[in-house]
Amino acid sequence: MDFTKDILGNGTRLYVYQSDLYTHTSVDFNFYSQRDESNAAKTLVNMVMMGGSKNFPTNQELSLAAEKEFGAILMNKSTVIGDLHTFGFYLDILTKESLISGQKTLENTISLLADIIQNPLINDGKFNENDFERKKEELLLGIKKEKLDKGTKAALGFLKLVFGDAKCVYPKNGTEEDVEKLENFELVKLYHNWMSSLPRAIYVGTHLNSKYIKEVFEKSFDTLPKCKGEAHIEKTPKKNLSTFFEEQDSFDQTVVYAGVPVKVPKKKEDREALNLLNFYLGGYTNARLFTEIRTKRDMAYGAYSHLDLHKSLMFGTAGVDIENKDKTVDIMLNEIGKVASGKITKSGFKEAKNYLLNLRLMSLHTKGKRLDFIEESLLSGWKDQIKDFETAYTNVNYEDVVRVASLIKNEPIVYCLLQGGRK
Amino acid sequence: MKLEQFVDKALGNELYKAQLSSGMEATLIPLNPAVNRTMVHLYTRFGSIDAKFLDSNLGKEVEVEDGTAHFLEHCAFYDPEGNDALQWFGKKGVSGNAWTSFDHTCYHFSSINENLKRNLDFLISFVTTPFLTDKVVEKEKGVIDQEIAMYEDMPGQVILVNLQKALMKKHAFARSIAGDRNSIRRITKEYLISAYNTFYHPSNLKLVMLIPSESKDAMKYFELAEEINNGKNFSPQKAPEFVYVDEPLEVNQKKIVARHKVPEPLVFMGFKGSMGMDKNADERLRENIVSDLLVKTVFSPSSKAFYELVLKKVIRPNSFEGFSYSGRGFGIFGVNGSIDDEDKFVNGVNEMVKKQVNGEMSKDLFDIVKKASINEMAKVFELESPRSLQSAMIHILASGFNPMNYMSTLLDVTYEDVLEAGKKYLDTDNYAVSVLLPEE
Repeated sequence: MDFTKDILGNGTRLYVYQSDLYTHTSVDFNFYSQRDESNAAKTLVNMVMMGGSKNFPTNQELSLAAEKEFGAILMNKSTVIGDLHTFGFYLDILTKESLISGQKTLENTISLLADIIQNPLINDGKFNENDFERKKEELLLGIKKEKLDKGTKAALGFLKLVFGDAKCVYPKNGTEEDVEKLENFELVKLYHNWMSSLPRAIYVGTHLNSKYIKEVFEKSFDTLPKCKGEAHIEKTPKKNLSTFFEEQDSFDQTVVYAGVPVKVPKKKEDREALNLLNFYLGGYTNARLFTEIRTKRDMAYGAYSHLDLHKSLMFGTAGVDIENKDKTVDIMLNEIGKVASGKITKSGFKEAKNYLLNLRLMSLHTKGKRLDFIEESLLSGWKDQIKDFETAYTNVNYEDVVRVASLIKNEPIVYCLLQGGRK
Repeated sequence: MKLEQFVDKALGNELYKAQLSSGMEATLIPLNPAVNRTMVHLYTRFGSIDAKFLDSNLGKEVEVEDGTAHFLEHCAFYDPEGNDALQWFGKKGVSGNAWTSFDHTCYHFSSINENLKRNLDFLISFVTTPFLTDKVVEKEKGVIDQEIAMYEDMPGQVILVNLQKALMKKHAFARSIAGDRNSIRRITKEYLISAYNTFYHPSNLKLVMLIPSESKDAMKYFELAEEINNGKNFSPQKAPEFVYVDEPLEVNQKKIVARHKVPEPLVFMGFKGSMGMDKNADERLRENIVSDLLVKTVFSPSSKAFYELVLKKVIRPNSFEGFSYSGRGFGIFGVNGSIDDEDKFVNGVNEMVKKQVNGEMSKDLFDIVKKASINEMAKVFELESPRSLQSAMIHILASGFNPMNYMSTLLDVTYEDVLEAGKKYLDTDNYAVSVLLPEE
């Protein structure tokens, strides 16, 4: 995959993927840091910045300014990848001239973003007090809402079982306690600190010329303090390896997680083989888990597996009735066990590979997948895989997946979030 | 076979349409030839709102349980030999799926731009050949039971179904698409066969092909569809007669309250829009677009009214959103949000609505919102999210509209149209509220 790499004068990395297929330009502006107790502060500062800026002093004016640019999408975001926390902004702008009569939507919207980042409303060392309190309350409610969500609760429960209180499972928006401790003036100090210390990167998918994109960013972000360095995902910490846990909550469905540790391969070819192995296990509707749990036994609406290379884990998950929980766990561990011992059918492998390759071909045109892939590859130190994006998996053969099966350690970890019915 | 061509000059898109000999209507929207993704859909005009229908064989009106259309979707996913259609798709490297909506059920596949004949033949085969046995019915009850359990754990799904019930006195829009765990247990093979025989004939099936292609090649896709249809030897059958009720203006219930896993009250406030099929397609399309722009303008986060409510702590900016649902003969719209006091929310929204329909709705904001809507349509054709394009096209077609008329109609809508619609439909004495309170 060809894309341009630049470093702006202020130290921000700029990656641009260009294709004439696009009519919109998408921008991901990311700040990177360690995932820990400061997640709450980072998320909150990100939210408060959207409350207003020097040239657009209220959220309403900001929103209107973006909407004027043919409904440009401008939002703040906060996420985690491996042991990194990312906060920043996402933009999507209609930039195809033929559709918008030549208006300069890109420049206007990037200026708007630059104003938000470089010129938040800070007076006497504080953000607007009402905005700060309002956003703090919103963040608290958001955390409470996530704690009540079945999927989020189950995923976190499984990861805590494996890693205990390690930073790599710290919630992306922090905890309620973290948020309650935050003070306005401290947040401002953190903002100033982060603007000059945290590595930054911008990922752009566009039909426009990459030189022009760079010019727009250089011009708009002229007062952003210089930052240094690039972010990297570090090694996964040692696992806690408790192997079994169940808890109950008032849901209508039981969620099952069953997984095993995997050794992360250094070579790109081996990572592809391992990903394909996971796809065979539970990546689509003919995979082992879906077939055994839903197709043959009607026990779930869906049953899939996931390979998280940053956490060195492969795990299956399904939502089932509590009566079928034990059976589901047995099936998952049985299928994982087969895969771990290299018991993979040739026909199954062939079918899984064909399906995966076709899925990739069908979405090669999308900018989101490409940019996410570039970001993850760079953060993970897997630059070798970027150039082969279009041809990934084509050279993986049956012997490769059998070989990498030995990277799976058949040491099961099971977590169940049991249903308890609505109160 | 006569091919009709429709062009959307604003976005540069085209649509071709033809009636096949079997009675099936076929549509092609050519996509950018550089994209390696073919998406083909076969939908039936049968959804959750068709709970009552005239059985073509029995010649009498039948009423089915909630969730029947969705149940039938699951049961239809078997080939004529009783093999799971999903497995066939998987073996061929084709992504197959289906969805059931209020007014249609759509079966579809996405594939690379190869083997179209094989894939299309299979799609038409399994959808038009029933394998409705007692075993299949019992099997799918287990799967659907868990699907419903999944939805019942989602506050957003539960609150919407309750709003539907609160709004509608007679209209089957009040019914949940998937049904509930009791209603699906009562679904019988006989009812499924009755629905199948009525709605799954080519006279009621629509083929929609979104294929990377050049306009000059359009005819070959219709010829292929015709060839496949002719090979199935469908016997003639009239299109089904739909049963539409006269839904009164008044809402059914002012408020429905339930408890769920939410940190503070979640509120959906809804108004009835245009109901019924007495207007022609162009008029109904215009009404839909007007309602959509009305919601986006009145409840816009860029409006002064919105910001005033934020400052008064009546609404939370990150959880306040307008919505609209419309389809064959129904339309609702409203706003949702979460706040510590649901009555404060409702009163605040009523005040916001009253001010705007009485003249405070900003014309400048309306112009901005209208331009932003152009962007929305442009975006679906960029194919960043193929699912968005599929959803948008099938929804518009299933409502009886032509997607190529969408943009010209949108551009024609005026501020006065939207203000008039606001006065007509945003009646602050006639709305329904669905609330979820935190569990005790």
